[in-house]
Amino acid sequence: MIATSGVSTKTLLEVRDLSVSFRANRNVIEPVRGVSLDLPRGRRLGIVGESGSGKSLTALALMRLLHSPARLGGQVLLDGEDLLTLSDGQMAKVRARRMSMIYQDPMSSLNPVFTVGKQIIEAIRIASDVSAAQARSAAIEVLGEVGVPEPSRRIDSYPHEFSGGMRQRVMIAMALSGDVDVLIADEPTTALDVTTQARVMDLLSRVVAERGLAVILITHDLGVAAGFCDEIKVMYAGRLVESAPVDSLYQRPVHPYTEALLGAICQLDADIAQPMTTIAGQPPLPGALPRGCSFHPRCPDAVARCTDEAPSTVHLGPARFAECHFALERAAMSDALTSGAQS
Amino acid sequence: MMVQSTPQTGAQAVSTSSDVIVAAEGLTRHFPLAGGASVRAVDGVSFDIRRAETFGLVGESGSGKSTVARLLLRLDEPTSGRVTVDGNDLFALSNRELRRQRRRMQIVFQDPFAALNRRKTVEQIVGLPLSVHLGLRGQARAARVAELLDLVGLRRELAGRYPHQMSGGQCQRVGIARALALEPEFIVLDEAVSAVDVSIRAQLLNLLKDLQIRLGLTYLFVSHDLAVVRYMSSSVAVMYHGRIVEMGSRDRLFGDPMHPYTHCLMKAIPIPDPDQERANARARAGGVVEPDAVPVEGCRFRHRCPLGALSPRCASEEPQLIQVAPDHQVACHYPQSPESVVNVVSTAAAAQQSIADPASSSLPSHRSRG
Amino acid sequence: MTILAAQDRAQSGELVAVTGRRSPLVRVVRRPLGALALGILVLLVFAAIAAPLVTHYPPNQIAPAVRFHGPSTAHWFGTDELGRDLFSRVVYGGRIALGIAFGATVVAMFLGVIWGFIAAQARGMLDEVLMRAVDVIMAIPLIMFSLILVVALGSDVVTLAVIIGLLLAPVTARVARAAVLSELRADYYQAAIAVGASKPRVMLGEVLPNTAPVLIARAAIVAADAIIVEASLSFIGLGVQPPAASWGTLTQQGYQQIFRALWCIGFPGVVIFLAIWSLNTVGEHFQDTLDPRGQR
Repeated sequence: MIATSGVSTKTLLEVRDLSVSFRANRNVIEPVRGVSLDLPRGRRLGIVGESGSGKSLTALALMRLLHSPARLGGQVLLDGEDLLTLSDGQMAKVRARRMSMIYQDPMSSLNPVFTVGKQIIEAIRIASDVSAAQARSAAIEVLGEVGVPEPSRRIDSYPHEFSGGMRQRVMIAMALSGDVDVLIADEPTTALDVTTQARVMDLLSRVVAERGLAVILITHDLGVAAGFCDEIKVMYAGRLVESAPVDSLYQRPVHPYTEALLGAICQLDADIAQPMTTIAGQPPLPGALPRGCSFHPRCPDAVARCTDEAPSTVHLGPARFAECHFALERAAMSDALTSGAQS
Repeated sequence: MMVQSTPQTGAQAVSTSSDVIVAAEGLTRHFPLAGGASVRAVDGVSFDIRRAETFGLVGESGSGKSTVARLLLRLDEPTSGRVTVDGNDLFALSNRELRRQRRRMQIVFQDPFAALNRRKTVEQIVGLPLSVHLGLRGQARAARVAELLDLVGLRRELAGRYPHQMSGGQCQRVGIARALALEPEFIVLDEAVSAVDVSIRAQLLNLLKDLQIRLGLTYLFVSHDLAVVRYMSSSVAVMYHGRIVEMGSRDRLFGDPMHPYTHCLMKAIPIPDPDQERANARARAGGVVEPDAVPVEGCRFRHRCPLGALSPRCASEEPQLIQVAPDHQVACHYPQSPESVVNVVSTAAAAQQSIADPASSSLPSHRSRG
Repeated sequence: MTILAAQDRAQSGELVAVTGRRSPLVRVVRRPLGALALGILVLLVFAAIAAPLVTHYPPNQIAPAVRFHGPSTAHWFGTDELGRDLFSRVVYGGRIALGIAFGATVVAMFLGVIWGFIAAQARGMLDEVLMRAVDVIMAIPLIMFSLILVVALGSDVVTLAVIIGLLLAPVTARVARAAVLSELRADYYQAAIAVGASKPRVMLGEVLPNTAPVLIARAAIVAADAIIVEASLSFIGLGVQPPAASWGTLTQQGYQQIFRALWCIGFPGVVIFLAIWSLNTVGEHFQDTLDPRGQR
């Protein structure tokens, strides 16, 4: 899946060594350190992590929505063009027409003093040159597409007149209005009820499939990611510590953090009599990362080498990697266990 | 532990009154809106919580579960109904008696940072109940606070920190320490583990269970997360728009859910297993889009219920809680297991008939799996 | 929403923990405008307090020989129509102007805070009555109202301070009420009640410290308003009466010489402007730098 240099292949979005850093009182804090990924057309990529992992900042960095004092490094290549080198005006065009974003809290992302129709129409007209009438009918159409009932009437409603799930659908409509290629969804359903969340994710899945979009879904919820994504990357302390196709990740996790995280989820069939499996300690602060492997203070399998030496990326097969000194051994073991269980 | 001999008027007898520590009877809370209408946040909710058990209250936003939690602690006044603690009416207490009663009942809130006064140190926050009720100051208070921090697994040095200098998990532990300061018997956990990361949530759940065993605590565990409720609770009630729609022991409710809303909740839980998720997505396909308004007449769930559209009874008559097993109640005219719901709907669709009569052969009304 | 808010706070809180929490005052000084404003304010207050030390001439010393001299090394601000040193008059005038402003601020804050706090936690009828009283008083033009009170009650320095304080109390009440209301909705307030603390104790011990920053910022702006009101009243002859001279009185006297000796009105005018600007700026910056991101 890695694009060969110079030729624009089906890899739509290539991120190379993206970093976000802040200066604070003579310290440099790097909440995102060297993130690289490839996003082909139609791919659904999930970036999963807990708070402090840097996943939301990564999303904002890709859309270039971070301003000083944040500093961005690396490259973000959209069809070969580095977004980090574009001017503000050019980037604004990219945001309108090629790449869009859905945010977590629809109440604060939608402007409460304008009708939703006005906001969607605005997005449409920024993206393409259409008349007001054409924009309005396109807006009604996209509202219908996202499942808002009576779209021609509701287009003139204000955000506060919708429920949370409906507002999120409106946001999705706005994000789709520019006929974009890439959609970044930053915790799109975290603020919603469980049943509404399920419906919105189902909707997103359908719409993304119909339009052949590439999606990056940022979430802390491994269940939501399992239901939506083809490929998952796990983020910890600013780096992607594991990447795998979705079935592999959940059945054969390699990195100790991924394994521990999956184990810590309280599931419907958990054994009530057993204590929950926890991860000791807390995620590290961006400005106070441990030496060596950033996970080693919390890792049940850490050895001396983990304190001294930061692990490099170990490739484990097509589209699989993990950042652990023992990645190969762990992968072999979990593959053996799984195939043993299957036989 | 006194045995109260005053009978509970009207309420269904689920247990003997001696081991019930907190009981809600017909609890109702309406919020008046401009123009005469009101939001029926809590509407006739009754349940008993037994000593040393965990009672789980499940619901989504708008269900009224947080309002119930606050009513149980008299942090809000009901429109009607009672809350009894050891048989005594909580809302009949004088202010002085109430303040004394508060020592026995505490609460842990959802947002770890908002629940702590941002201008106070941990020592001041956890020490507040100690000052108010026990008059502790200075060294004596600091010593007791240090003990409490030990109890919840925090380092003693954190006593001098401010909330914004700590993580969400640490702040939540401070909230728990504060709740434990006066050695209460009953603690309301209002979404207490919902706003923290998964790994921290696991730690907090272990801590809460451990404390319950060590200190003999009774919990009301309010949450929207069914899996966590199941892990923590021995009895569970499911709320929808102000009413309890299903209630029973944990094993019965999770083993044999009978209300369509409970089915809906279970299908919607995201599961970290791609195959299961795909299956759930298929099961959800074709579900009803959530409406914005709740019907005023009849069953509140009928617009979202696969059966609701088929029956005139659902539109006219609000279902009451009926006993379907010794420890299982459901508020539905046609309670049944999820599989049979699917059958009923497709049969009715094929026959293009509406459900006129609960005795009609195509629609079972009370059915529990053997 | 709450999950991300909590996570957001965790992140920003952790970042703050790493970068260190600075007191609001320090943060004001860090911004150049804030530093400048604070500096000017300190200068003015110092000059007022240490007036005898910074001036050469007594403010009321008449010296016909040096009438209408422009600014010079002997007389920094020049002299007025009676040969009095303008710099001295401005410095001593500052004593009165700033003194009245201080007094008025104390009265306004005391009254306004109590007013707003009672309204906020009483809600219902009492709240309505108190806030409509605020509306009524605010509907009356400030200068007109103060005119009436001055004519009725007199215009000596203390009375002036009290009158101006009374006039500025309603706005402060509104600000105080709003500040308290937003705290009352917070979980920590409910937690304090749940713990069994009495309402007065919670208001004073828990809520007041959280509203203090907003109120302090408000006080700076009240002081600026007080200076304007007093200056306006003195300008039209109804404020501070001669021989005492505040900045307002000086502008009135200087106004009569405006074509002959511009500095007579110029310097007092500039000083009034500087005082108001620096108070407003410090107040604004103080407010902006409070409550770091993530704390609502």
